[in-house]
Amino acid sequence: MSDAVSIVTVFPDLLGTYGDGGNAKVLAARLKLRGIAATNLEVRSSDPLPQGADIYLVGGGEDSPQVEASKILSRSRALHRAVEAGSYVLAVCAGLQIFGEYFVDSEGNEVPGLGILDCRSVKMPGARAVGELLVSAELDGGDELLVGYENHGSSTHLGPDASPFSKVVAGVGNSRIAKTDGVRYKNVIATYMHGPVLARNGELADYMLRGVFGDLPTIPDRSLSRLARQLHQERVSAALKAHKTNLRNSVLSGLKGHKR
Amino acid sequence: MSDTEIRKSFWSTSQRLIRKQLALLAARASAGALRSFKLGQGQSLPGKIALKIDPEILSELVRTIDVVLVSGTNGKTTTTALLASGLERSGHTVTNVGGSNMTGGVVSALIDGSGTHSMARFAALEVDEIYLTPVARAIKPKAIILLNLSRDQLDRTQEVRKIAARWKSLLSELPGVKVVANADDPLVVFAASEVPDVTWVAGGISWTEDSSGCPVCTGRITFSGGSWQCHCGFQRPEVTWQLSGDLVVTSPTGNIALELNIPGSFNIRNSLMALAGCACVGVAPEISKNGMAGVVSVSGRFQSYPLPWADGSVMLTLAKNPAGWVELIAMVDSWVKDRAIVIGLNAKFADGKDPSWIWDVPFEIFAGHSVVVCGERATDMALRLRYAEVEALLVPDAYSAIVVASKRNKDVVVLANYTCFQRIRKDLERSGSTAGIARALYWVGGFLSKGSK
Ligand SMILES: [Zn+2]
Repeated sequence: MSDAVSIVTVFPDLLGTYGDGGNAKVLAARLKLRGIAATNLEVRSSDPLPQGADIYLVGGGEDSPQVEASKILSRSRALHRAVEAGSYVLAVCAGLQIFGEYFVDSEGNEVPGLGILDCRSVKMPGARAVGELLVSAELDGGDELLVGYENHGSSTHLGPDASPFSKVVAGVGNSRIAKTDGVRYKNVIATYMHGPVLARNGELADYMLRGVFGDLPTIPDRSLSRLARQLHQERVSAALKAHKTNLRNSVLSGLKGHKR
Repeated sequence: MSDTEIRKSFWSTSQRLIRKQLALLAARASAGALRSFKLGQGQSLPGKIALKIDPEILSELVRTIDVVLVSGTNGKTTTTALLASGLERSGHTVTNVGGSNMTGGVVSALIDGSGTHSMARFAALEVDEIYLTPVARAIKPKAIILLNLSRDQLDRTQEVRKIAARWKSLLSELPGVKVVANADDPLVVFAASEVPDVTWVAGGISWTEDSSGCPVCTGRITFSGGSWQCHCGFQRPEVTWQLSGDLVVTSPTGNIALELNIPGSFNIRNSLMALAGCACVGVAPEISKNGMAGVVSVSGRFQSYPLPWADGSVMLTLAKNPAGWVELIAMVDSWVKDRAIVIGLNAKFADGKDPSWIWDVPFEIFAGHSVVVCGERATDMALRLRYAEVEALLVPDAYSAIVVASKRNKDVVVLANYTCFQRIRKDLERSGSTAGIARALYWVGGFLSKGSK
């Protein structure tokens, strides 16, 4: 590939339901603002995935398209090669589940995933996890607060060879018990955070871009950076507020339980 | 029949009648009370009360009224308004346009139409796509118009494919129902595929991202040349209603020239669906089209209000999901020259709490232009626009946003999602009382607007 940073969005026709296509737009824009060339390629499921891109983005989708995407990607092994070659990958929700050993379809059947990550996704007991998700992730040695929106009915359980991407501060993430979100492996970041996650968390976008490009100049457009930080702060407060309400409600319902 | 049996049946019949009357009375009384206390417009509560007292009231009410339901993700309200105006030409028609479109609201509308002095002949009712099953089961409508299905309010409706499957099983349990279905939308075709009496209409599709996975075989659907098909054999059915010119409709009974007074090519498609719906209950297009010509705005959509603080106007449009936005974008493109643009985004329950869909809208088309952004989630929208190289001025309060925008151009167009749209509409309709504040804001806004270039 040329010296432009190449970004590939994987199968937006199958895995583009939850606005995750925005992640590619954010990455390309944050490069362009710094005067760095970027190519943004959306590859539909009827076409082969190009090899050797710097960044692959895999988003969320509905049950049956997710099964279809997993089938195609298992056959082609394009993402297996990309991960081995050290490409950066951001896999969100259905994307995260596809990267694991298996996940469940709408009928509850186990569907084989790509087996790149040591994790398994199964039907989550209790209600679907829907709402703001606030986590703390280690990026470049420091802890960063990241915030997204989760919407999933499965929980993801990690095996011994997988480490979680982050610790959950508010929300559900991988499961209600584990209190972690996502998986990290090589240059793969897998998470349940929609939003899109890179729009809400410029720090995470820049972390991935530094991984590809090395040191980045600061974005000269201060008003854009300010707006991005403002959105991040707004969503962090919203997540904390939602969490407090939930906590209060569960304490209250616990008290009621005692009385009975 | 024995004496006791006769007495028993007499009592059960009168009990039914009494229960029905009680339910109607309670509903009307509550609607009146809600109105006089200005508690909303009394839309869904009366229906809920009536259903509580007499769960069978719906089937009672519709025995004499021909009911046509309208459902789908986009265009419900406008299509229902066109349908109601078309039917009205042939007989009194009740409708819930602009009101609640879940079960309670639908019953309330029917109760309104069952008054002794204004017995309705038709009902044109819009129904939320998720509530179509309970409403249609209870009402047993004469006809159902199915418009389209696409992503909307992902936090609570989740998968559009599941809605299509639910529609399909609903239609299989309604023998004799006439269905008017949009042949251009594969998910709608899937839902209506086994209905014996279906009218296929070229209703158009502006957003194919949610229907490119085949609902029959999970393979891929390819769209080309106004048609679509999957390798499994699932394909666009032959239509009997379509456009054969700008405003010329080809129908099974001949060609009709349409007269429409609401903008947008998607509204021509909506009126096509409504014309076919009218024909289903015996109202010919030559008659119904005259009624449709009288529709100029629908519950505030496309409505122009004079600015209370300066010479100029503000037009309201509703843009609540990617498919709706894609339909509007062609029009916005023509507006950018002579109107200031305000975009409003909320994320209340009725909007869906997850507005990440704004990233699916190709706002890049407006790169280089400047808009004013308002609503609870104005920051999300402003950042989305900035990443698309659109200048965005953040004025979270909607009314102030319009004031600021009117400083840029005397004519303003607002594109907002549901609760933001409703809020602005309410503000504009009672803006007499706030005109003074608005005038003051207008001058302050001028400085704001200048300062942000
Ligand atoms: Zn197929």
